[in-house]
Amino acid sequence: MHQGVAGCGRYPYPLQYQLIEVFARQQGVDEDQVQVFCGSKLALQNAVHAFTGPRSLVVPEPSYETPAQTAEARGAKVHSVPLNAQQAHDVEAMLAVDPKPGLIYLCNPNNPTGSVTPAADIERLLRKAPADSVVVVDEAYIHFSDVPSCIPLVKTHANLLVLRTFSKLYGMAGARVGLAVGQPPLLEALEKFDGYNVAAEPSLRGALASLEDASLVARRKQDNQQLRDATVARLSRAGWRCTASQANCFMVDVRRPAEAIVAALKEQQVLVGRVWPSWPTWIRVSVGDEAQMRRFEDAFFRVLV
Amino acid sequence: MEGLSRRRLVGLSAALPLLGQVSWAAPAAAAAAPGPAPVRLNYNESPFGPSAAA
Ligand SMILES: Cc1ncc(COP(=O)(O)O)c(C=O)c1O
Repeated sequence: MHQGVAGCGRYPYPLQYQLIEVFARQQGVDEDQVQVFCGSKLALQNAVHAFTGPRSLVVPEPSYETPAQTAEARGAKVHSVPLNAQQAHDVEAMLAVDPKPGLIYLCNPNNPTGSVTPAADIERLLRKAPADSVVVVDEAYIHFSDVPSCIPLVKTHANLLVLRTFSKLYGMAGARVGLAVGQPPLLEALEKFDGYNVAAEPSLRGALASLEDASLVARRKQDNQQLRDATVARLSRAGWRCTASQANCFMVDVRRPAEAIVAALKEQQVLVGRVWPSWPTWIRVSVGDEAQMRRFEDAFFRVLV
Repeated sequence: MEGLSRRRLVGLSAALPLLGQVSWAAPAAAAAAPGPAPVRLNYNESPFGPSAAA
């Protein structure tokens, strides 16, 4: 990434093509089925612009708010469908809420719960969704989980778009690199809003080095799992209900208005995530390192005596 | 990247240079206890940053 600073006088398209080539090779897809965006958030926003407007957006609730916010900003109808009892996407309800939506958003694992949706459910949704409704599967947290990726399905589903990011397991949130994977007509539709933009050279170099670091995913996945599960186990033993997370965040039901607990934890110098209005008694906690999780737990048990 | 308001960030950074110019600001800042840095578990970021190879 340091080396990339010296190259910042030029638009680094060759590096962007190299990143596409490496990712496509690793995932077994064609290079024209991969596009780079300055953050997967941008790819997601472009997808909402491209495929909603006259037609609706279907989202799970609670979930990552960006697609719903973007759709609302452009005046598109948003259908929010609660997660099911297993905190997975309720695919039948998502299919039933609108017979012809423009875009159906799935997040696997889901932010903020960290919970996962079985591959069979996603495949069923893909089979049953109208061919001209685009299905986005946001895999921002997939590296932390044991669920299979939907990337192989883009070959057989012309309406499937899968999103990946370097912001989470790869630790490059500030470098802004994300990827969209789908058949070329879908990527072209996103590009209309992105103008064939290029990411920054330090960011592209960081992304390439991350993909080429053979042990990184397994190592970080294991560390995250250990730290998350240890904290969740201690909270659960003390009687606090947590979501079944396979991501680098989980939620805890604090059984009272969660906003007040977020504020109380902040006073203890522990910042946790925002509160989702549909789950008003739950806080979202991102998984940090061991010392950070200790400080979270100490503060949690001080605040929630 | 999650819901950080750019307007709030810009507002905060615009106020910073002014702080040093008001008579009460410097002593107040100096008197503040150093305290531990906040633990940031709010944006699903990695505590480890980019790969060492990056
Ligand atoms: C589910 C999900 N998708 C996408 C993003 C956006 O990631 P980025 O734009 O940093 O790639 C986030 C970030 O928090 C997220 O939680």
